[in-house]
Amino acid sequence: MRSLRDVYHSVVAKLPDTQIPSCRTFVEWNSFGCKFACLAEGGTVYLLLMIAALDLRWSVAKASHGRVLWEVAKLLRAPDDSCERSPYCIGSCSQCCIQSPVT
Amino acid sequence: MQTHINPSDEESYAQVTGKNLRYHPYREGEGQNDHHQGKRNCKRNGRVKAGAAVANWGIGEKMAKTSNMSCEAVISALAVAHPLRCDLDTWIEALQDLRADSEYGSFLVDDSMATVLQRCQGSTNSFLKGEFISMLSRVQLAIKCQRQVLSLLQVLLVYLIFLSL
Repeated sequence: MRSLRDVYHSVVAKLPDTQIPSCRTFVEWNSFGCKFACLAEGGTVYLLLMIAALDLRWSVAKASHGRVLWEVAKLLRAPDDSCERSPYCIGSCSQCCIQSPVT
Repeated sequence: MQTHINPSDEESYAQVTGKNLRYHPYREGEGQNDHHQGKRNCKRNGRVKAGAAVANWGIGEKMAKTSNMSCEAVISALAVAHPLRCDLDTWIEALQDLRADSEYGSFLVDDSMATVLQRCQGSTNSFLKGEFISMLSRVQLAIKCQRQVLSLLQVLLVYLIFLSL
C-alpha cells in the first residue's frame, strides 16, 4: 500500500459495514487527524478538549496545510516572546491535567 | 480588444441568470494598448480576457473561503479558555463523564478499523463529548493509516537492503 487511497481500497472498502465513508471523506478525516495529532503533540490531548469545547474544530481543521498548526505546536512546546498568549493555553492545559488526569 | 462589458450586456445577463457580473481586474481603459507596448499592469502576468469569456463570469451566492488563520490567531482563539475566566470545570466534568462512559473504554480495547470509522462519524448525544471523541478517533485513524503505509515502506526498505547485499 503506497498511499491512503490504497489503504481505503484494500482495507476500508472491504469492510462489511454499510456505513463506510467515501474515499474523499476518508482522506479528509485522515488529514484532520494529522492536524489534530500535530496540535496534541504540542499541547497534550487536553488541547483537543479545549478546541472541542470552544467549537473551534472546523476552523482548526481548515487551517491551511499543517504548517500553521505545526508552528502552534512548536510555540506551545517552547514558548517565546513572539506570542504573548501562549502561556494562557499552557496554563489551561495544565489545569485540566491536574484536575482530571487521563491515564 | 474589449476590456469591459457594455451596460446593456450586463443588464441582459442579470435578467437571464439572476446574477451580478464579476469584473476582471483591469480598470476601464487599461489593457487596450498595453499588449502592443509590452506593458502590463497585472502583477501576476495575466492577460486581458476577451469580452465573450468575461461575460460568462458571475458571482455565486455561496462563495467558498479559504482559511487564513495564522499561528497567533489560533493561539489567541485558544487563549480565551483562561482558567480564571472560563468554565473550565464544565469541560473537566465532561471529561470525567467520558472516562466513566463505556464508550471511552472501547478506545483502549477495540481499535479495529470499522469501530474507528464509526466513531469518526460522531454519534454521541453530548456536544462536547461527541466532538472530542470524533477528534480523537480521527487522530487514531490517521495513526492507523500511516502505520500501514509506513509498514509497507519498511518492507520495501528491507527488500532493497537485501538486494544490495
